[in-house]
Amino acid sequence: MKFFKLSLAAKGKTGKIVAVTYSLKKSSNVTFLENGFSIGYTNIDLSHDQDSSPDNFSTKGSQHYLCLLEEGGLQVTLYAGGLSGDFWALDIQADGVPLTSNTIRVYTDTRGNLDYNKLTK
Amino acid sequence: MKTLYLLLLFSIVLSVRAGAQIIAEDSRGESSILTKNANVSFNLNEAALSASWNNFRKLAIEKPSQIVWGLSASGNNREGIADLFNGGKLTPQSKVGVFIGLRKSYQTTVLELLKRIKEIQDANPDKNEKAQNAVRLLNQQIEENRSTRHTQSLTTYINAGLNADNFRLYKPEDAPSLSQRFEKVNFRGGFADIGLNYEYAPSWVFGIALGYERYNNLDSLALTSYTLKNTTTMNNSELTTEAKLSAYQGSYMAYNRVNIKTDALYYGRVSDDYRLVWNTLYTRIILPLQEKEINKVFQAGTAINFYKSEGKFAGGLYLQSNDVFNSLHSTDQFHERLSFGIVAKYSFSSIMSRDFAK
Repeated sequence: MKFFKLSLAAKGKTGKIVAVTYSLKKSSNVTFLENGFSIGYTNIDLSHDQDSSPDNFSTKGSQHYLCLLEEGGLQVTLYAGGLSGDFWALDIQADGVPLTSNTIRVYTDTRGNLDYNKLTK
Repeated sequence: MKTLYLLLLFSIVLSVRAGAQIIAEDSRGESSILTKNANVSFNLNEAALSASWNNFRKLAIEKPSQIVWGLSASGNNREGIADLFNGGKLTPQSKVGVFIGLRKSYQTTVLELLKRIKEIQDANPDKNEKAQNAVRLLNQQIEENRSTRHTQSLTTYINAGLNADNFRLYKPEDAPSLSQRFEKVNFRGGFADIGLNYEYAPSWVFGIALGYERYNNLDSLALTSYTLKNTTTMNNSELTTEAKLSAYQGSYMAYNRVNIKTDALYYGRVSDDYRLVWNTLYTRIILPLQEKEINKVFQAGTAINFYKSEGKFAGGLYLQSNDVFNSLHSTDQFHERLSFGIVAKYSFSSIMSRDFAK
């Protein structure tokens, strides 16, 4: 685990970099926006992480992303579109420990969006 | 029949990897709307099987514009499954096609903002506060945009291919012997469609397709069963053999026609687990170019499928008028020109694995 103090521009705000792994599953009509998935200010490469099933995405083996864990949790952002009844479900592990919020599950809203953008513990 | 059983077995094997992506097609399993996944369907009433393979897995990630392409194949017994189980003869009909299309997203502003966020993240691996603030600001702009606009997309495609019918035609006047009156006909036709799909989330997908097709009038001919008996006499003994034959009767012709298809799909949530897709009204307008011999036909119908959002199987019903305005003068009773059927459908993710998409 690597602790660090942010640069001068961070004005004393601290956080720690954690190794994040994840598993993301969606119903078939859902489309994730390109570059629309990030955890702790790190972009997650969905094209690379797509499984043989086109509806599943995950880190594999020793693969992980280095992300910023703030006091309030991990900033998780995911933008998606879909049809009525569609959903996506996300499980995140930080340094191998599952988040308390697992499983994050989002359904299609009245505009056809399945968006999530908040600090998540 | 053996071929049909093999195809059915094939579809069951494929269903192991299923994940529901469903649309509701007409009684022939046709639609002007492209599905997002490869799928196999089996129509219990028409004994129709269809399958498609495509690069739609890439559509899991929305880009400003994307090329889509694929292959599709379908086969059915013209006389339906009931005829198969009654020991009838298979009248195979098949269709293979290729399509290529361009899908355009209406999320271009948001996609541009997301690209800028990624650039900031890549340029600031130490995740300093300045970069974080810039990302937060861009995310606010994205959320404002997303709260005022519906998710929408437009797909334009061209679909072309071949179709085939293999059957026997009864020709009473020409043949020198009884057995030669049953002529084997191998019809080979072709088609080309241009179509548009518009998706207005969360509930609606509209499709329209204009097509040109080389087809035949087999639908209007009557399938008749015959028993051909041959008797051989020798030394006061008679040997009789019987052969049962099914053949179409009537004036057969191949012709060219223009087809117009429209579909309007409504997606709804029935419960936490169950979804429905309702093709509220689909129309099929068939305009033959040899109008003197072949009538124009206007077909319309509605179809509904229910499926589990994480399931492998979908089932539903369709109700279709095969001749809304009685152009064929078959019967004056509207309800007698209606047909309905049960559809069972399997959807699978991709039989080609991820190498197919690369």
